[in-house]
Amino acid sequence: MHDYTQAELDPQTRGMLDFAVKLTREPSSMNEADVQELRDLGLRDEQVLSVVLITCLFSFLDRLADGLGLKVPAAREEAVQGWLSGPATGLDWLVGTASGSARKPALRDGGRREKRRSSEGEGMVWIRQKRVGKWLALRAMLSNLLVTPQVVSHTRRSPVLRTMSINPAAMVAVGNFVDAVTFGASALTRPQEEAIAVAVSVANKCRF
Amino acid sequence: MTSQVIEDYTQANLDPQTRGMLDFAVKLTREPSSMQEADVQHLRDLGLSDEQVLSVVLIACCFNFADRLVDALGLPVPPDSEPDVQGWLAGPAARHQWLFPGDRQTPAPPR
Repeated sequence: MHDYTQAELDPQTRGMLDFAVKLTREPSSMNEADVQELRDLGLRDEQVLSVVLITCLFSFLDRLADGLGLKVPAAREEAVQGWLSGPATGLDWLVGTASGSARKPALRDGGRREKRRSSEGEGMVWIRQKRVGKWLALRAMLSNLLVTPQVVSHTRRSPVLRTMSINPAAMVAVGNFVDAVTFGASALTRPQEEAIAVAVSVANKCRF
Repeated sequence: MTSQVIEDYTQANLDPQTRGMLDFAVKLTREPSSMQEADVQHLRDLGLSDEQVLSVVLIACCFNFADRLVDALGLPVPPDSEPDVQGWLAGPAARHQWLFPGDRQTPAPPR
């Protein structure tokens, strides 16, 4: 489950995973040849964009979870175990060759971790959290669907947002998302935001 | 854009709060799995509210997303962005003394 290179995958899936891992580990090493290789494996540009977007999204979400110390809720752990013993049995490479014997220790381990978590109490993240009521959740959902004039003007001006133009829904959501997260909308001053953005971009050796 | 400015903020003369935020953001970028509750507590000890900690995390995450998007799709720096970059460097960027190498950089005090 941890090393897909040891698994028997079709060339297309393997190519997509190689691309995603390369993008995650060494974003500045990406070449046009990497995209061409995905095309040669039969992927359309829309599919290439999806590989890129999912990889990017998890670069975002992984760090969000790691940075705030998010723990896997017990209910989620059960769902993962259910998935491993159900739909995932079709994916032999995911659960190892001796899939039957591999799952049992995982289950035991899951049970042990669950016990440890329940003794830790309700603290799910390292920072303060607000209770998300029905109304707040609904508003958050709606705001992700609404196209504000500000987002429309962002997508016109920003080359980064325009790279997603063949998937307008993602473009608008990321536009909303960037608006809600950065410049002007955070609890920091603009110079602080800019300093972090520059430091992170340098750490990523980003070309842009 | 970053090639025109100083690339190593650790050599710059920063206030402890900004330095702490940048250390946190770089650690989260390079080794996300190494993050500890102590890293968050350190930001609080420097006087940041939880809302500000969340903003540090979100901005770092956002640029991990956007940097990979442009690198993977091979987005070139648009030729018409040069006036914008120069405008930023001449105006708002003046607030970041540490960004500029050489004569515009206030020398860091000896440690």
